[in-house]
Amino acid sequence: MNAKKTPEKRPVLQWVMAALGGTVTLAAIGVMVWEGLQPSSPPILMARIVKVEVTAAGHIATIQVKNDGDDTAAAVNIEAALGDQTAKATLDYVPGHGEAEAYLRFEADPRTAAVRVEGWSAP
Amino acid sequence: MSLAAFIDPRLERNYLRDLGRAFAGALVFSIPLLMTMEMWEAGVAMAPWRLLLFVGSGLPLLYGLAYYAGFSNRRGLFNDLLDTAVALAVGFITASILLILFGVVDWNASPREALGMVAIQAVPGALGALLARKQLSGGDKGDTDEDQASYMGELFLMSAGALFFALNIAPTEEMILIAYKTTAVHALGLIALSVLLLHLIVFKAGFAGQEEADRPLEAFLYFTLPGYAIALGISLFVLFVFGRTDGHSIDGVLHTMIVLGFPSAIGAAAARLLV
Repeated sequence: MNAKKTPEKRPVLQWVMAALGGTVTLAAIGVMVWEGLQPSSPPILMARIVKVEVTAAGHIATIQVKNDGDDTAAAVNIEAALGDQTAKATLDYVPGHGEAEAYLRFEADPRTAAVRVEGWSAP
Repeated sequence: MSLAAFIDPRLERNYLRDLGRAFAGALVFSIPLLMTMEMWEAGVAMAPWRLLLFVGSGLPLLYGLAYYAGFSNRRGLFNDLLDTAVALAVGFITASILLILFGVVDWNASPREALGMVAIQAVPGALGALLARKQLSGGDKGDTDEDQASYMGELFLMSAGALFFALNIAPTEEMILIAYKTTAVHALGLIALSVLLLHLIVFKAGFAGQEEADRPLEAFLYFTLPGYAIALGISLFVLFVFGRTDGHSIDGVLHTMIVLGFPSAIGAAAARLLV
């Protein structure tokens, strides 16, 4: 260890922080490079009802939208039809391989409602 | 070998103080960005190669700032590299903690989302950490290399300042909106004002650290005009990284560049005073 000893002593804290910063930065760059090299697929969006709550304001359905594609979808429009009632909501973003939640309000129990993604825009 | 032999409590305490100052700098400089919605969106939606370009071009800039400012008293190539890495750690930690506290990064976020949102904020945070020493050290005169900065060094500092200001504004929707609202006359006015203020702030306003210009015309040609060119270049780069040039005609891009060039020019001028 004598050979390694620098003439000027550095605080251990500096080593620890520098190692942390270097590692995290290189890891972030690594992930980005890896991702950049992957072939990207357009958003593949799937919407489904995951929960229904009965409130004073009607039946509130929690809609989960999953994106199985690589690209992020923005301004995702969701529509659900139940009888003659249609409910709509917009999600700002559904990230690639991620998910986002929206809420739709119905007068009746919406468990049988058909939920679908109408469209989206590129972010 | 016992651990105690490596640890000198006084040294650690002093460094802890440097580190505290670095965190303060990161906070001061990155809170506006951490609270900007477009920055969160950029972290999620930005193409990986753009994010890479951003982080990749940030690294040499951070190293340059470590060289000219830095937040510890030591100097030297290796120490500047260490300072750069530490600044990045400070940037990452600051961004992670605050984005979690703001509820922007939560358990539902995919690792890629969280990483993107934090990484894009870590660079300006690190920038602030490196500037902290000069800004927050309350006048204990350190041997920064800034005083002996060469001409290239001066230009570098201007680009760092321009980048810092541009970064704070470029991600916002308003940038595009202002560009849409400005006509050619507005743009010309903005150019004139940018150049004028750049010159006045660096040479005339009487700030501490200000240049003395014995020959104003020479100063204008050597510093002000190159400074404005740098400000415009940095603006264009930042706009490109944030996708603000996508789908615009050359004319539209020029307008946005001139609009963002205004704060960038102020940043370039301020850099000579701040760093």
